[in-house]
Amino acid sequence: MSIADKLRRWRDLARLKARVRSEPSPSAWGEYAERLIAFGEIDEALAAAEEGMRSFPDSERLAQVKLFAKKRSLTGQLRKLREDAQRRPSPVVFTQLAAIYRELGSQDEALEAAQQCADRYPLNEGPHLVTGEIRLERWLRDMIAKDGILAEEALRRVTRLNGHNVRAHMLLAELYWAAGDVSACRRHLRSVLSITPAAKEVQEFVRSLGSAETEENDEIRDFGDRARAIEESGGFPRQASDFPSCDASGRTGGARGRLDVESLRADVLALGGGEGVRNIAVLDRDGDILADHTDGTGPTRRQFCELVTATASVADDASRRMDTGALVRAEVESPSGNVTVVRVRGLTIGVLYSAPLRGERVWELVQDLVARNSQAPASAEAARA
Amino acid sequence: MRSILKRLNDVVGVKGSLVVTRDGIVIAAHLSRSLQEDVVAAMAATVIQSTRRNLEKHGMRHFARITLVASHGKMVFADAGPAFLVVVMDRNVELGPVGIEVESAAMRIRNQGTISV
Repeated sequence: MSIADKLRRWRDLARLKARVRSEPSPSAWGEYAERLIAFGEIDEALAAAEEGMRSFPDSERLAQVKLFAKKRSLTGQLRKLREDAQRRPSPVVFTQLAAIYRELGSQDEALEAAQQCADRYPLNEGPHLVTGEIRLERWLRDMIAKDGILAEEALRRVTRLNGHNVRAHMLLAELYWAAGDVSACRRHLRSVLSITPAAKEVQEFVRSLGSAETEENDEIRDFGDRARAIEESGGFPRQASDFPSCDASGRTGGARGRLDVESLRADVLALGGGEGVRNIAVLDRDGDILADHTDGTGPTRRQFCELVTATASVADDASRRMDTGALVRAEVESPSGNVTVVRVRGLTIGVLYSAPLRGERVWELVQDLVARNSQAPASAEAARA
Repeated sequence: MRSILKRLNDVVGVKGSLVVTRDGIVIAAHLSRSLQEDVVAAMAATVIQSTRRNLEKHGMRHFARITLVASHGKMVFADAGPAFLVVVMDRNVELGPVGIEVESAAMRIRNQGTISV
């Protein structure tokens, strides 16, 4: 490669990198990560995709880049472990297999590997811990009661099999903390301290819990009831991010900032003027209209909002019943036009469109629209500074 | 019909597929162990009927395909003439290439003619 080519490449990457810092959006991150892949910088592409997914966990473009980069490094290991699971099965092999599936983002396959292990080795705590971790991650992200209940069940089984499993006690404490059951949280943190008394962060957290005067949702005793109440209300009594073990992997759904409604309205109008777009509606969590647009050829404003609400409700219910998590996007293709309904950061956004627009493009436009108009806490602070 | 579904399930990331009438009666199914036939059929019937009703209510014509993307999986419901083809997939599946396979399977089911139940 000539010096001129190297310089061009460096400039290109610097421009894209500057864009993800100044105007972070799924498409900006996606373009940057894809360009890194094209230049053969696989590790950097993976890092960029992971960083982007922390803010935009539902971006399919970033998920594909991450999968591509990870597959290259993990395919050999995966093949070997699959063979070992057939020829020389052991709890360690199944647990490693489940861990690799998780790395690749195939949670269902990870759960299946854990289940196979649990069936073969019922007294081994490993598979239940994997199941508990995955279900807890899903619950903190989607708030689906079933995930929370399964997480509690699996983690409690781990503590029954091995009362000294610190990780299981920490995860149970985190689960009860998010559910607002402070006394159960405190109980498990004390178990952690009895095993590892030097855990300073846990000591401090338990001390802060000790001074708490009241407990939220104290009248609800059963965890299942708490989980169902959370699913109905759409919010946790306490934020998992306040908990000491909470990592920064974006499992609480990415940074949620304040929405700039005025600028959102202006952007919706601009998007509505695009070729192929007939109706747009942006609804808040309560179903109230935040912004909308109609070109007059499609359904009326009220009709379209009803259609979006009904479609989102049916699709979300189906996703939950199928144990595939909460709805991200529904696409209805009909000769009268296509309807895309997106659930992102507590908003329900519907777009009625026709050719030349395509579903994938609409999905990207909607994600960018939300990213542009919601200021994450960190960037808000930076802007003030 | 099972051979069409079996071929579709060979596509990487497809966890199962079934052909179902709009009332939820299963005509053929090929699902992985993790999926229960009656649960998928009942869910499919609800989605198909509710979506049709919603579209009709707002003066729109019947749908040709519905794609649901959830945080841990994807589902496609494709019109296959007298019935619907339902495909359950992994979250990581790219919808473009798999969509072509789904369309082709739906077309083959449609070409098989009338389905009697």
